[in-house]
Amino acid sequence: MTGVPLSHFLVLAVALFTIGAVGVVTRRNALVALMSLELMLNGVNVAFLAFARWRGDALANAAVFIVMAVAAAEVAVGLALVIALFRHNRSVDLDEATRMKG
Amino acid sequence: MKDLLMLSPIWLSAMTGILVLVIDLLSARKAPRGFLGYVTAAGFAATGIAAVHYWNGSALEAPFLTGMLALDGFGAFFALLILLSGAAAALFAIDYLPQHGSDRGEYYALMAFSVCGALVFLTAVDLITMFLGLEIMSLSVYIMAAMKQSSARSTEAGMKYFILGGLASAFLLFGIAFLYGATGSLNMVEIGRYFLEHDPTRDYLFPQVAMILLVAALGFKVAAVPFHMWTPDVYDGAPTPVTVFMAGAVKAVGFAVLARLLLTVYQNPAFDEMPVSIPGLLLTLSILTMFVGNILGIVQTNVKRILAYSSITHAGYLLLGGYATMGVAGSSGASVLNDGVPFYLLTYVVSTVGAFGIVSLLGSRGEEDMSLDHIAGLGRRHPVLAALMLVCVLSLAGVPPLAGFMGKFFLFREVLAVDPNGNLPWVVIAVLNSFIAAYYYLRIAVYMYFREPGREPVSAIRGVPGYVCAGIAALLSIWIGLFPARYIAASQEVSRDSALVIATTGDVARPAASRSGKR
Repeated sequence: MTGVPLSHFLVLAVALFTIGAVGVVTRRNALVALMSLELMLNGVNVAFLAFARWRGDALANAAVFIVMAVAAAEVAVGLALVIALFRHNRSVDLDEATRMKG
Repeated sequence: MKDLLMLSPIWLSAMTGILVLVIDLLSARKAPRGFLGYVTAAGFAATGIAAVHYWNGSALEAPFLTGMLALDGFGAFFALLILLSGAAAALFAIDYLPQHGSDRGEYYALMAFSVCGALVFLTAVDLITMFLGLEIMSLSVYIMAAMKQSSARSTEAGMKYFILGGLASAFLLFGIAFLYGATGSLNMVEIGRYFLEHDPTRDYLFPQVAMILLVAALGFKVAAVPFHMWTPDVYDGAPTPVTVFMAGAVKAVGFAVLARLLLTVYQNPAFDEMPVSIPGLLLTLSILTMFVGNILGIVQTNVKRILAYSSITHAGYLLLGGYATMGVAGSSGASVLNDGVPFYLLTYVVSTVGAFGIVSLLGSRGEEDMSLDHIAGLGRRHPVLAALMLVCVLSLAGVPPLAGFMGKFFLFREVLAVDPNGNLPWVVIAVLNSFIAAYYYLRIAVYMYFREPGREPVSAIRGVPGYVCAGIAALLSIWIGLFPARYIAASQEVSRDSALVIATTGDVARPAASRSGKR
């Protein structure tokens, strides 16, 4: 573990974040979109931890815990919204939720 | 004790929410919940008084939260805008929610929590605190947007706002991670100091990536153009009092944080040499936002969507103010927010809260159709509402002598004052855009006064609090336009506070002479 340079971790973080972002934008299933959001936040957590290790500093470790707690709250609200959506559409497909067009 | 008093606006707003929840629990199940709106508004009034009293004129951070929050005049000004929109959203809801079958006490509690989150977001200096504030504010707004359970449109609006809002939060957090990586600190002032003491041009990759991510995240919140897709749908689908809050408070706080964050963290003038510089990025966003908002606004036939695009366009004008930062005397060469921006936000918030609020009063018993045909003949059927709407809409359009005109006039003048020649083209573009925008504002007026009522004429909700609120908004739109001097003075004072002061030990690290002028 000691030999792994910062850039490797950052590549992983950016990859997770990008996969998540692409998932949020392209996948039409609300649940998959929620999971993609989680993936983005986890990418951020990897970045925080990598930087904390690189700097030998515990500050970002605390930040990661806060991010995880907030992510849990976000998922709670998100799942409630998915259920509300399902009650109306009998599906969690975001493409069917297009009564209004941007 | 002093600390507790300094923090009083934040805990007062949270206590309002808890109080509302308790009263809601103790009331009979079938009893109407409208009175909670007054409780919320009263709580917000107390919060506003506390904010002005304790924050105004003090640059002091509460010692036991050292470096976490900056409680100053800048915070007080924007706190007032947030509380104004919040109180209006609570009062408009008193008659709106029962008519739309969602008379729940939770709405008022969520409104109070959302305001509390907005205050934390606004005053935060620590970036994780800022993220927490953003989430407290946004999570409450997601739920409120989906509050009208019987309506598929409202649920859809909540879902859309949630997905894209979550995306924006992740962007903000990733930006924070990169700032941490570059400097080893999560405190805005510390980060700014690091960049002032270490030449940032030598290794600008992390700050550059962070800047783009942060601007994107806050661009979502203020509905600037590449990130505006959610705005019309969410503003349209959400219960209209929630739209009042989103168009007023969320946008105002978004701009305040954008200004404070960029001006504090990227204080070193050397940052102008980044490949994507902050002024360049903001200017591009500004011009895109103005044109796209206006062009799409022209083709809309729904009043709520017209006002949504109008609110996008206003973000464009405000970004132009964000681009034209002003220099202040000082060794660090720090620049501050253009002093037209806070005043412009004030005029915008007052008029847009009034306009959306009046729309919330049109359409009783769950009616959601807000097309232009629907409001045809409003002038004859509901002369008072139509007159108030006319004032608010004309103010948004920038017709003299209303507030919106003074806001635009002062903002454009101050943008020109920064760089009379260089900024002239951008100001000309902005003025042209205000003329384009006049088309769809006047269209609302024409439909209200010169069209016969359609087959389904509008039926307005009759409720005292809503009418009073709308009246106050319209009166303020006239008052600020006629006597702007006080507000302009306040705005100038606020903008001086926009960049947090950083005390550096040595000289500012500037790029070596050979590198400058490369741009």
